[in-house]
Amino acid sequence: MAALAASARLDADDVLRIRWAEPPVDATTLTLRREGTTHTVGLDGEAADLSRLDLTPGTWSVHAADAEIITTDPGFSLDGLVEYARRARRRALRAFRARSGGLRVDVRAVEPYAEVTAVHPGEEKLTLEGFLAYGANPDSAEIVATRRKTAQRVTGTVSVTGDHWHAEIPIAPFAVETERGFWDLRLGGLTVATWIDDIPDKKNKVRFPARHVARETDRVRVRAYYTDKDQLAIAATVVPNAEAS
Amino acid sequence: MKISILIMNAYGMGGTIRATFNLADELSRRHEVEVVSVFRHRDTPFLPLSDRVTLSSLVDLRPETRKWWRFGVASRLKKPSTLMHPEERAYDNFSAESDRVLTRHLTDLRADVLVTTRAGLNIAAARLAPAGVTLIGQEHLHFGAHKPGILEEIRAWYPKLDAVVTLTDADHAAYAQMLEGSPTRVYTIGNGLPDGPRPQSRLDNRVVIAAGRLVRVKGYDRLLDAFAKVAEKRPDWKLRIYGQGTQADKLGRRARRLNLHNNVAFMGPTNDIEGELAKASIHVITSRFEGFGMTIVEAFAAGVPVVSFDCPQGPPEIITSGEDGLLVPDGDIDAFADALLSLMDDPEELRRLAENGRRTALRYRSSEVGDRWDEMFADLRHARTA
Repeated sequence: MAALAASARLDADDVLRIRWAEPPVDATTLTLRREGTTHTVGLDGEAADLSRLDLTPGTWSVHAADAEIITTDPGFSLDGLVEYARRARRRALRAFRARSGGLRVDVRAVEPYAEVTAVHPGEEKLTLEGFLAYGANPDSAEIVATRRKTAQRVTGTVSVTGDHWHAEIPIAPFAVETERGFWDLRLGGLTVATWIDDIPDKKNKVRFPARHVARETDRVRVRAYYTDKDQLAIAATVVPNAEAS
Repeated sequence: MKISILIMNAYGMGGTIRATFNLADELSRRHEVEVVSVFRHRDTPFLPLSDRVTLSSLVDLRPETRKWWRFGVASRLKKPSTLMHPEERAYDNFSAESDRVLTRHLTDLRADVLVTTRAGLNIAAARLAPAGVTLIGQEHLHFGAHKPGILEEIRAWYPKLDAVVTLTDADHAAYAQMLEGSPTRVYTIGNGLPDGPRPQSRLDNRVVIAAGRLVRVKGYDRLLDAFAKVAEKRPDWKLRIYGQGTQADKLGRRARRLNLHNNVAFMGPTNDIEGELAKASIHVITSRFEGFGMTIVEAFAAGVPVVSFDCPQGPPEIITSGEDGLLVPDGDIDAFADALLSLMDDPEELRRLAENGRRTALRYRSSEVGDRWDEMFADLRHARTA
C-alpha cells in the first residue's frame, strides 16, 4: 500500500504540507519512522506540524497509516532552503524525495554560521558574499584566515547589511608559505561554509580560480577551496616561476 | 521466449545502459530475459536493474578477482582485439581476452533472440551466433558516426542479422538503403521510459541541467561558452553538469577561465538522473551528435523543457521546437544563449513547453515500446517460417 503525493514541502515553521495525487485510506495522521522509532502527528487537512516532534538527527521516512508516502515532488526549492536557513534555529528539517520515490525528512542539529553564496577571486583580494544562517550574529567585523600548521592569521574586513554579508581578504599575506599550507576561515567567529545549495561534497564539484603572489624567486598560488565538510578554506602553494597558473 | 541482451558494460552509467535496463525490464514481463555484460568493473551495476532480469558478465575486471584469473588472461587483456574493428568507437576496451570469451559466449549461445547493442557486438553476433537464434542488432549511435572502415564491416555483416533496430527515423532510412536487397529488416523503436510515478519539476529553481559523459561529443565546451553569455545577464541562474569523463579537468579549467565558478557545478555521476532533472527548470543538450538522447525524454517526462542544438540524430526527431523545447542551429553559441535567456525571462512559456513535453513523453512509455518489440519478434518469426 502506498499513498502518492503530488506535492510535499516543509515550510519555514516546520509544517509539512502534502497535496495528494492518490490519497491514503486514512489521511488523518502521519507517521515518521527511523531505525525502529516512530512519531505520529495529526494531519490537519493537508498540513502536519512537525515542529513539536522530538525527531533525532537522521533521515526519517514518512507514512500515512501503513502506507509509505511516495512523492513526485523533489521536496524543496533552492529559494525555499535559503528562506528556511534565514530563521534562527538549532534544528533544521528538510523534506526530500529518495531515489525510490519515498518521502523523507532529514533532521540535523545546526549551529549559526556564515553561508557563502559567491566567491570572487580578485588580483589583490578575495571577496566573499553570503548570508547569516540560522540566526548567526558575528562577534566582530573581521574575517580571519588561520594557518593550520602555525596558527598564523590573515585578517580581512566584513560588512553586514541585514543578514547579507560581504567580506574581503587581502591575498598578499598568504605568501608566507615554503611549500603548501591550508588556512581555515572564520567570519566574526562563525564557521564559513556552503551547506544549503543542495550540492554536497563540493570539493571536486566546484573549483575556484587561483591568484598568484609574486616573490623574488617563485610565486605563491592562492586559491579558495571547499574542504571535505564543504567549509570554505584557502590553499596557498609555492610554485616555481617557470610554472605559471 | 528467451531473450539475451548483450551490452559492452552494464556496470557504468549513461543513456544506453539506462535504456537497455528499461527494455530488459519491460520485456521480462512476458519473456525470460538476461543481460550479458562483456565487461564488469564493479560488484553491482551503478544503475538499478529489475530483479526479473538476470545479469552476468564475460570479462571480470574487478581487481579482487585477479587472483582467480586463469593462466594467460592478464597477457591477453593487454593484447589488442582482432574480433573488433579498430574503428569501433570503444575499441580500446576490447582485447584478445574479450575476443576469446565473447567468441565462446556467442558460439555457445542458447536463446531464441539475441539483442546486441553496438556496432562491434552486432558484427560479432552476425559472424558467430548459431543459426537458430534470431539476431537483432541495435544501434545507439547514429549511422553517420561510423568511420569508413567499420562501415565496410557493417555493410558486409549486417545482412546476416534478422533485424536492425534504430532509434530514429533518419537512421532507419540510412540502414534501409544500405540493406536494400538483403533479408534484414529495419525497425525504428525509440528508447522507453518505465511506467509509474515520476518526479516532476515545479520549475521553481533557477537551475539548468546537463547530463552525460564529459567527453568531446557531448559538446560541454560549447555549453560553457553559451552559459558564460547567459550568466552575464542572469547571474542568479546555475548550471549543473552530471557525469564524468576524460574531459573533466579541461572543462573545469574552461569554466574557471570563463568566470563561471559561481554558476557551474560538475556534479559527477548520479544514479537518480530523473530526480535531479526534476530539480531543474531547463535541460540542455549541446552534443555534436546524439544517437537518441535518453535524457530528453526523461526531462520531458519530468516536466522540464529541453533546449538543444539541432545535431544529428535524436534531438530533432524527439523535440518539436517551439512546442516542447527549442532547437538551436548546431554550433550557434549566441543563439543557444539567447534561447536559454528567452525561457528564463518567460516563465509562462516555460510552463507551456513543459506541459507539451509531458505529452510528448507519453509516446516513449516502456509499455508501448515493449509492444513494438513484441510486434517485431512476431514479424521476424513469421519471416523465418515463411
